[in-house]
Amino acid sequence: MLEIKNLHATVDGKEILRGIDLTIKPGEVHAIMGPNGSGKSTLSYVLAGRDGYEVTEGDILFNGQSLLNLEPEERAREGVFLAFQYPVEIPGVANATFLRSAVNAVRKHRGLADMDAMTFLKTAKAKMKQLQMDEKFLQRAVNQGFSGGEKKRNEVFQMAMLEPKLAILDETDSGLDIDALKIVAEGVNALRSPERSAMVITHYQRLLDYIVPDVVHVLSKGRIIKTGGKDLALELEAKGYADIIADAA
Amino acid sequence: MSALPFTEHLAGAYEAAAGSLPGAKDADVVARRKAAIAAFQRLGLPNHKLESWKFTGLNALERQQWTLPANDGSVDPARLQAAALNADSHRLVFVNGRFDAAASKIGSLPKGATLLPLSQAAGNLADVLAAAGDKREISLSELNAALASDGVVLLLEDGVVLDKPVEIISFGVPALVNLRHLIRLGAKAEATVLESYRDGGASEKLAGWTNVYAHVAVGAGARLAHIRLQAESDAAYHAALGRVSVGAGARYAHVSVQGGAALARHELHVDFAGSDAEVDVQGLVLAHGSAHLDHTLFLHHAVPDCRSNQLFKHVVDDHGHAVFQGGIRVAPQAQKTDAQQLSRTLLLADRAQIDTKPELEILADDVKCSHGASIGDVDAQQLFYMQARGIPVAEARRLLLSGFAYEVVNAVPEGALRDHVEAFVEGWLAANSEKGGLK
Repeated sequence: MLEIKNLHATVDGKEILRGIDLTIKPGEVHAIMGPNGSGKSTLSYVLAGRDGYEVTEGDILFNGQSLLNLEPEERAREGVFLAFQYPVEIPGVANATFLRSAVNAVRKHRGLADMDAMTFLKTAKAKMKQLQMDEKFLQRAVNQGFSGGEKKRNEVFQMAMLEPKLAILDETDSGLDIDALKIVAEGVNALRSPERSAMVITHYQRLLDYIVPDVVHVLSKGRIIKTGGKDLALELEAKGYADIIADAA
Repeated sequence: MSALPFTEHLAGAYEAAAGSLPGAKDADVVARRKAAIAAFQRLGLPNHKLESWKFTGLNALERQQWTLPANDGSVDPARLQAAALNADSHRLVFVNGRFDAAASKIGSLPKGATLLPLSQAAGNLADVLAAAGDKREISLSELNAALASDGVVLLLEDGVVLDKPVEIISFGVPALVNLRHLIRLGAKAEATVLESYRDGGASEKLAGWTNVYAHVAVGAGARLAHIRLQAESDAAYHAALGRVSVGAGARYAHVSVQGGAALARHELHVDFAGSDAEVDVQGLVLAHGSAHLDHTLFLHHAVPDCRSNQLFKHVVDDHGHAVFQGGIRVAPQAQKTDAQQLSRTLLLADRAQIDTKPELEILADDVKCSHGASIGDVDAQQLFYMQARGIPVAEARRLLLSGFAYEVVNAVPEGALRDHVEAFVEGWLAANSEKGGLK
């Protein structure tokens, strides 16, 4: 599904990712953990193709195709979805308008007809119910005036509507209380299938109690310094990052 | 004060048309029109030497030999339908600067309401033609007083409420059209008025010039929602002056959308005539090609305890040029005034321009006044967020521009009226996006 090969990337001329190798197979969930400043969010933005995040070496293959020459919207249409750590507010644009444009852009790419307004509403409302979101959020401006938890839920809602092949969740747990965390995790788990993969970026272990990963990677200073099973997350929680980083050094 | 031949030419046009203008047999009206054309000849067109005309020049008007429109005219039904509200209204349609009875439907009015085309309001003519003031800035409105061929007279007695909106639609033609409106609401009266200036489609190439003057009086405790949609052809010239007085405890809400014409200016003067009144003036400019679109406001807080809000948004593409001049004067006695102003602009091309100028003269000490201006491109983070959901860049930009405009669209009363304005804005954005603009 995803093959990251010797990935180096800079932001404002500063090297943040310094040789990442990572392979995620279909159906797998990988967790990326690491202290602040280790490059976790940079990795997510590089995968999504954000301007200003420059790949200087290496490659990212998605189902065998390099993503590097694709625009962000092309990556999204291929099935890469980034749930933002800080979802962006868009005043004046209704959530429904935004999401319907997104759904239809992805459908068009897949050779499907536009989803008509009625079907869209029906589908959206069903997904919102699962996520315990009020239907009113459809008519509200994208993320504007949403609480931290509502924004994160809105990210997972968008993901559920777009049904990506690879979901990248960038600190989706931050700012969530435990109830919201469970709902969000259920939303992510509902999408798990043998064809779909996920990369869960998190600082804390607690999200991984609910979204159980197949593989856990520890990122430090732009490199993966340790890879293990789900128990690695528990070890990190117990010992802290400092020990693991010291062990790896 | 250049080009005497220009003012003389227009004076000649007046002489030729005088006999067929409304009130031609009324000596007082004729005297007023003669004085008005003389004032216009004396003043000439406003030019850059006047502070309030610093950013907008009318030289282009002088390069054309203007004629007054032929008497008859009618509008294509499809064009009328596209321009009209999709709701029941008191509709007055003007083609060639004259009331088109066949296309209009004034409908039944409550007792105490008068709604007539100016051409049928003989008793109100002298009142309607009264001068806008005595400064040099009034030369266009004096020209208008001399040549006004029609317009709307709306008079509501105290307490009269119009449930349906009054809809004024004028179709531009390749000639000089002068419309003059009088809107007067008595105490506690309520109305909603939509003025639409539309492309008449008579000719793609020839420019028309629509020159409008509106006198608006909002009585004590009255409420007027006044929407203005300037959607003339891209070749047209449009000049409008509005003078509004707002009584005690009244509310005047004005939304001005300008998305047409080569050169247009909407100038609005609002005088607070009684305390505890509220004025909300919002505007949206959509400028493409080489359009030059100007909003010039002057809000005069002459009495205490009044509130005013100005929000103007500009989307400027290609080598378009938007102008916003927001004048606020708070008189020494106008304590507890709350006056806010914000101008926001998205410049979408290297040669796109905005001149945005707050002009605050605050002579009272216990007031809340603020002004602000922002100029930029669409937000890169918002754009990336949309792209990351698969939305094509052009569509994402169109959605962001629509979101930017929405705040002003949202100031239009909800329902058919807001849908109408929103459809115009969305149509403009879609058409420009489709032809590769808005980048």
